[in-house]
Amino acid sequence: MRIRAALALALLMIGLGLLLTRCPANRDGMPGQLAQAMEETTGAARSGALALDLWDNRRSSAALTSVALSDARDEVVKAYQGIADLKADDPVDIERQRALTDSMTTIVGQLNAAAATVREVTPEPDPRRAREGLIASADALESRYR
Amino acid sequence: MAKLFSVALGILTAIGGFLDIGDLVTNAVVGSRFGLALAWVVPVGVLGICLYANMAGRVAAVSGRATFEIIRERLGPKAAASNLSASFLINLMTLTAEIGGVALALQLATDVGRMMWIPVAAFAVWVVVWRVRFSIMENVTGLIGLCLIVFAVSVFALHPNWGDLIHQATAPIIPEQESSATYWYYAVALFGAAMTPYEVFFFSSGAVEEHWTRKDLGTSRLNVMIGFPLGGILSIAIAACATIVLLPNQIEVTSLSQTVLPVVAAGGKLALAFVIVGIVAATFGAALETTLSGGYILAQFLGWTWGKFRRPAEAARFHVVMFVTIVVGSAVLFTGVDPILVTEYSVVFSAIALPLTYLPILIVANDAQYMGDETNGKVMNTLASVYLVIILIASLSAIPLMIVTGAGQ
Repeated sequence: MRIRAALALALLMIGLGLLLTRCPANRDGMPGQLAQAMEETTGAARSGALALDLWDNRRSSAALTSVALSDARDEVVKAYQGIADLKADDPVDIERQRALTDSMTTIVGQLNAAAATVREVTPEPDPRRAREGLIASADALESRYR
Repeated sequence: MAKLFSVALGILTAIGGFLDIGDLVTNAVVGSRFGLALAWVVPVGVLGICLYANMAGRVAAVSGRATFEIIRERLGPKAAASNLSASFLINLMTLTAEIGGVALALQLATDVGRMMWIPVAAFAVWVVVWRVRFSIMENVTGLIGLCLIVFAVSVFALHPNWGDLIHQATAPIIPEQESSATYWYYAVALFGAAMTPYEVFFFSSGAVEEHWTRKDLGTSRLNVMIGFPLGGILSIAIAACATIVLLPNQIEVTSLSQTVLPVVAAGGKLALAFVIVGIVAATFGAALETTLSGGYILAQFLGWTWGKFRRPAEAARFHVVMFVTIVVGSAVLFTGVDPILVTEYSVVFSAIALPLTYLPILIVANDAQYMGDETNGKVMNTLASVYLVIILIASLSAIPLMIVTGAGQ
């Protein structure tokens, strides 16, 4: 009975170990993590752009737009924290990581500036320009990355 | 006339009360990533919850006792204790997500940080559970939750390509950028969101709270069989809104603010007002239900007096448990954990615990000693057994899928 239980436990541990080798961080390595962070960043930038577009067209409230921009910024910051500490060995990965962190910093700045406009802290940038800037940053990051 | 009104009210409450933060988030995430390729999971989940909620309601109406009381008596304290532990933990996780959901919805309306709203939401939940009558509590939140119909209206207002939407739903294809493991992970999550265990505990204990008898079985059956499927249609509408607006913009939902953007795009500020009121009502209603469910199952297991139909002093331990769960849920949120993340995990863990909730209900509903001539028939048992297999598959595959996909990355 004990042998059977031990065998079942051992099989379970082996199964779990094998499964863990299939988790994205192990399976895809650094390129996968960078690609994931890139997608999260471009998605957040586009989300901020959509929120600004709706506000600019007077369809949305300042409160929702402000929250959407903050959420987008938090998403980029989270993605940044996920890749900032990664130690790359491959020169291609190093270049991608650098490009990604640069773009993330730019996008966080754009989102903060847009949030300041929505909260009427500063008159600039106007929402249309802020929106175009975010979309351009997302597109540039995607094309640079590929 | 009074009967008709009662049926209509029950159905409307069931529609408005069907959605909670799990449905709102999971459907929006799925719509923004897979389009309507996972829409088929919603009817599968809705039919399952209809079957088992109906069974639990019948057990309560016929025996006059809530499901968990009978589970302990029928299966013994050991088996019931494992059931209780899993259900209580999942319930606590869901309560945490719901309180977080209320706070996030209030943040959308005011731009005041969610941390400021958490204690307000928690206090409001406690006051209502403490003071407000069961029927008022249930009907008011359910009816205001109907504001979420704005998601269905938005689908029409966005003038989608209907052919494309129908094609996505009827001939599901996994998008190129997603893996099949992620697809199935979200299928399990959607299934867990539709069949959340607390709904059954609440439904069964609510039947005792409202003193249902065999005469009420018809009304309860109508509430479930009409109300829940219509609630399921709202779930699909949330996914459809995300499919129409967010998917083409390559925006994957990670926050509640993104969930409402399609509604705003469709209907402007008026639609925004409706959706925020609807989300507050739905999450607040679900927070009340999960709080009560936690109290119900523990009190029923330990044989304490319970129920909102009693004065709090007569069911002191029941009220203390609810108070403590609210405090614990709020404390978890104060660690800074993202309520959306809690929600995503809570629906998957719900799926894992599903067999522990639903198997005992099936066993009790087949026991002639409790059920007399209302014991399950052959058709009901066949359907319930098929669902038990689906539930078991979902439960067993949830953790491997969670590991392989990195929780749906």
